[in-house]
Amino acid sequence: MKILIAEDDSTSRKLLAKSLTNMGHEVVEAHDGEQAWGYFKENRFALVITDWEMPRCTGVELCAKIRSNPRNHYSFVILLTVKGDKESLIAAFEAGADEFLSKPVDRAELMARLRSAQRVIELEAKLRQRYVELDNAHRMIKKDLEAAARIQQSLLPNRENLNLPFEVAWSLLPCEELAGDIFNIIPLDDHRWGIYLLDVSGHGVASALMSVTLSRLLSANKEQSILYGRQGNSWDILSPAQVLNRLNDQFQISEETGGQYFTMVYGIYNTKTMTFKYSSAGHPPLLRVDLDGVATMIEAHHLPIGFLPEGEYTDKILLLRSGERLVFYSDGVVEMPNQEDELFGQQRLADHLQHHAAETSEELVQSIEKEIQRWYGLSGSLPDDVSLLILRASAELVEDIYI
Amino acid sequence: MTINLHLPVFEVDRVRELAEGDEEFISDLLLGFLDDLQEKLDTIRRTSLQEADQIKLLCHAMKGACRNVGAVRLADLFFQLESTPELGHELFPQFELVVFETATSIKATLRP
Repeated sequence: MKILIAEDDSTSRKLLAKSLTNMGHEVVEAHDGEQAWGYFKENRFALVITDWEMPRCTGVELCAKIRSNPRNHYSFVILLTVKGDKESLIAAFEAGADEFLSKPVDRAELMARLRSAQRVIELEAKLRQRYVELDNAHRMIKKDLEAAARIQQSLLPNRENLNLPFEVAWSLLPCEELAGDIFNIIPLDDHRWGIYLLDVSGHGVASALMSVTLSRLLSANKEQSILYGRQGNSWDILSPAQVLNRLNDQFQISEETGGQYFTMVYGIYNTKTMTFKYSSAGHPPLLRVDLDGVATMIEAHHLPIGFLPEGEYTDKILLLRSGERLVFYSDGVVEMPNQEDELFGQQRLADHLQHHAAETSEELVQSIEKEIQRWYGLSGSLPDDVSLLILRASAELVEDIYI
Repeated sequence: MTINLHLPVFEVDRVRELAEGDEEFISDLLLGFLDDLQEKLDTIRRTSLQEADQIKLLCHAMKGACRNVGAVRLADLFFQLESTPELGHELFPQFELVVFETATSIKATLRP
């Protein structure tokens, strides 16, 4: 071991150094605490043996300096002492001393203390190594998660690519790096737009993996998308209920899927007819905001995808008036608790939509987001993913038709 | 304040054990100790009795050094002076005597 001795009495210091050198250790001698501190800063000592009373800097002061200067290795500190009173020992321990060695130094006691120091130093080195490994693993995971989060963000609607003919705004606040919520707007043809919002049970990596898988199935790429059905050489746009039934066939709860399921609402917005044909699978009801700002829940009673093999999802159609809004959201919005465990709830969301009806969809999304965070009341991550998508119709039509 | 005659003047066993019998080192160490002892005693003599703290500090250091080399009787005298520095002048004749005994004993040990 490389050992630093701090002792102002040269006879004692030389004798101790001789003994330690004979035992095979590398020894550096300092004639007071200040010199010892200078050596300590420049070298890597496994062990420091210091006298208690020294001019300029006492052993306890040296010890405190060593402990207040964290390094990437641990230095075991032994205080040489004839002091046996409780207060002195407590002061030394509080300054960071690990062990005491009585003066005059006895060889057997010295060897016992060195063995004990060696054990602690080795354990500490192992612990530090483990910590470094864990820290590296954590950094790698965090980096992967950040990369995955960027990929996940890239799966959300891209305003520049879409060239949307209607006002729409959205927001996704993942509760962890990755979200189990996902949504998108898919151009199905020149006047029909597929819009979905889904929420995979749980959150974190497992949920995010499933949400990414689903987003690939719910894409505009006809070859891999579940939104289209092949008819000879052409592709049919499937109705929302057909899409949900197909998903339900593929994603039944099983051990393979880790017991995961998801809720979803999928609709096709037709900009020519101003209709919104949709189907829901256990998802919180859409909110329709009329021209007076009054929000109405569009009830949907079907089970989440994966619960029962025979899903039997059905389509419904809404006729929208120009300026009316449809609000898609995940349960993270309405089930957000405050500090008294009261949930945010649909009514509070509906009230907010009414009171802020004059806002643009973008402003509305932001004000809801802010309101949810204010409601939760704590900084840091939210307890669940929060996703929101608001669409505003932009032509004139007359009434609702239910099928 | 007295010389404790029941205490040994000098014991070399512990030093020998720590130095693992390296006689040359032991010789250098003990002669160095005697030099240092003389120097510190002179300093104590020159120090005014009003500077009790300074005397205490010197005595504390010398007490440790004496114990370390095995000069047990002298260590006890330094201990007494550390406890009652105001009696410094009263103790000096006794110091002269014990220092002489210690030096003689050390030199006898070192003689081949």
